[in-house]
Amino acid sequence: MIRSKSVGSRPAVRLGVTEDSSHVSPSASPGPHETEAQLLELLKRKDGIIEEMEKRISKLVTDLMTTHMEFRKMAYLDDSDLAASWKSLEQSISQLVPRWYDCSAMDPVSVAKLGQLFGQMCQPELLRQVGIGPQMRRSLLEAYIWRTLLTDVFGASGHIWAGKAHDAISNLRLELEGKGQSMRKESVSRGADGFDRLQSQWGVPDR
Amino acid sequence: MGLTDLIDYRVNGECLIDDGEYMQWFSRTASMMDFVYKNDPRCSARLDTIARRLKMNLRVLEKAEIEGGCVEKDLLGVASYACELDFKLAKSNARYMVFMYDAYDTSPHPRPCKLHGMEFDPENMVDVYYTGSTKGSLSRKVDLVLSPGVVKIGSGVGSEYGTSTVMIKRKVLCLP
Repeated sequence: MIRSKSVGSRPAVRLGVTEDSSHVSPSASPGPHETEAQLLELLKRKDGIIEEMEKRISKLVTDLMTTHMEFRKMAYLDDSDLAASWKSLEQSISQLVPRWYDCSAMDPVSVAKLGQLFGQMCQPELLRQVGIGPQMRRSLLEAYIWRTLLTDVFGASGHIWAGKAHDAISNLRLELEGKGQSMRKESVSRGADGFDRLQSQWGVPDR
Repeated sequence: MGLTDLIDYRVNGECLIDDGEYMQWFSRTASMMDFVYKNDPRCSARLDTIARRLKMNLRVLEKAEIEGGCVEKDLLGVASYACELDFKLAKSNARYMVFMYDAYDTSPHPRPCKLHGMEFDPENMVDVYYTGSTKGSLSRKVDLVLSPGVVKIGSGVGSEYGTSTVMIKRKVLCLP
């Protein structure tokens, strides 16, 4: 007795032989050669299906590998790319300042305003020199723009690219990075080779 | 298991995450935000706010003959470019710290730190005096930090999180 089987969504193939042979009329029953031919045909189709499935699996694996490679590539930032991008940002800021801001002559009101904006950012003596040095004024303006970008774009409250998910990502990052009580493995994070040692390494020594 | 449950399990359970796993999460999360950055109006709205605030704060120093809108447009361009750069850093396998005064500047929990008066450190600072010449004396105090520096932690392929490299040195001014 040959049973038809359903493979996946493929409909069952009936060979003219039912499970209950008592219901099959002798005239409708195929001969032995016919049944063998149908069996061979079925096996051939099965082989074809297996071959097709193998091809699809192979393609899926290739696609997965490609996606994986693309992801790795996307997550890889070349040092020279970073340096070039950074330089471009620096140039944009240094060109923007003299284009729109008057650094050559400054009235007392403007100097006072500078004092309000930059008073905490620099050494007081430097601020006094602002009144006489246009280049110093320019530097202060650049520093002010950089500081704003640092806080609002590169800072922990940045994540502008996250759009609607901004708060969720910021909060999650806040949680994961912890406040002194890191939730990451202590052996890694708090040990000699973790982020913290590196962050301390670049900290201001005479705080 | 939802994301919150997963985090809760990994954070509060036995399974803690290491630096590599954390960076992988952050990098992938940022990568998934690609479509958000391009389509979400909140992104451009936030950039507009930054540009507008900068424009307002520096308005008194603007040149007299400037037409309205030009400065803000230029500032918006700078903020947008900075955002693109920040996005690149976030998507990367390595961790990047952008900082002007302290390495904790961009951490979720920044520490109070000096904005000037710190020792000049040639390892991660360049002393660009206002005449344009570059000095490198070790015994100088920093009077103004002009632009941020960037430190890379780990490698570009997502390993060696115990090593760091100064990618960009901070530009500083030190009065003679």
